[in-house]
Amino acid sequence: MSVLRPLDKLPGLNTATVLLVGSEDALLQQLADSMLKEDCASELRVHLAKALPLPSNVNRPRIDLIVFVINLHSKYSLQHVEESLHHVDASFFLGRVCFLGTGAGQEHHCILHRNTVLKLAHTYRSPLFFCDLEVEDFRATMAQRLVRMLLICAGHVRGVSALNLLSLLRTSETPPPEEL
Amino acid sequence: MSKEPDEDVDLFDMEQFKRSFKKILQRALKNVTISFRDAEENAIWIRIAWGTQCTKPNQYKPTYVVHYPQTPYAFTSSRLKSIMPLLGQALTVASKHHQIVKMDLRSRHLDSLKAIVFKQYDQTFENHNSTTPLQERLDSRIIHENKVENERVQRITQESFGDYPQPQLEFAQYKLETKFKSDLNGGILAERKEPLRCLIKFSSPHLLEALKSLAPAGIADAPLSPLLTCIPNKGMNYFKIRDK
Repeated sequence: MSVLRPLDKLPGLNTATVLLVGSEDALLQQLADSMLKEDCASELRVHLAKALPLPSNVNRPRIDLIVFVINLHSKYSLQHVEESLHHVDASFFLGRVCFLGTGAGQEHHCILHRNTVLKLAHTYRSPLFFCDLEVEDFRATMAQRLVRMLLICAGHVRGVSALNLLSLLRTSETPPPEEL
Repeated sequence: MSKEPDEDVDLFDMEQFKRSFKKILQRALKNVTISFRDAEENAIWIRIAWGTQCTKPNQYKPTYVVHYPQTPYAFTSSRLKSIMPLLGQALTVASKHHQIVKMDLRSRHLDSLKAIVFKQYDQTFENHNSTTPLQERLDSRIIHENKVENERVQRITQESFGDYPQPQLEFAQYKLETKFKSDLNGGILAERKEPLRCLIKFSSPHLLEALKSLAPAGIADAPLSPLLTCIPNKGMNYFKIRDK
């Protein structure tokens, strides 16, 4: 069982790589396009995967950030993400993983409850964002945030590390889901 | 509806069919209006307005029947249980067949029903603009990790559904009468001896195209359940499933 480990490779010069994991290819593609539209000094690369583990015979750069995309309209997408989480090394969760829940805006199509995703993110101590990826403006904003996070995780922002960012994001967290 | 043809089918005589059909219905029900139209080459369209012994035929709720004389098939627009046996009998006798069987296939689109029943749905059209999947994007900064898996899904989808546009159906309905199966041991429902009755209905403006796009969109695993993919093949979209 191959496990994704952070920092197991040397970083590329001025490159930052993000891995988007989600079962719906069209959503991931749209998000990837939006992220690449952002202006930034570093070279960005986006890898799209339906699930982990990734095929092992490929030469790929070091992954700086993993974004797990869960569609609240599909239990299937949650299943894929939950299974993929087993293939990620624990040290990734020190600020280099985040969860993204999409589709919350269309309540009547939602099969998953927000709390399910909240609990999942809380279990893995990682930030959770909700964003309707199908709406272009929301997607563009989300892409901006993710690019900023990616640059921090890749070490391209002076004075802030991935772990710093994680603790900054956590202080504004609502009480744990058990009390909700 | 379909019929079992008998041994030798005589050459079809349109006028004789019309006379026979009219005679049978009018003998059974005095108050009924029947009109015929030869709209297409190989088809006869029949419009029937039904009345009762006391009331005049209701022209606002007619039944339409389309029969293709070269084939043992007829398509009807009404599902009124009361008139079905009589209509079936009239069609059978007028077209000189032995019996008539109702198929579990319903749709709003006559062309699609014809395509399924006459097995013409798997013809690809002339323009070979094969739609390539949206994977190949020119941006080299986006890498798809699961190319192999995506190709597998495309291949399986193509094997189940083919390259051609699917016939248009609106519903698929599964009436389950099976024992309750559960992963968890115990539970109230698991101990029932009688089968659990359950109705599952899929609806869509274009059901088969929707099913075809499930796996490529990442909403379901490929291959899909054979209960879904067998619909055009079996010519059924209303199923009753029982334990064997």
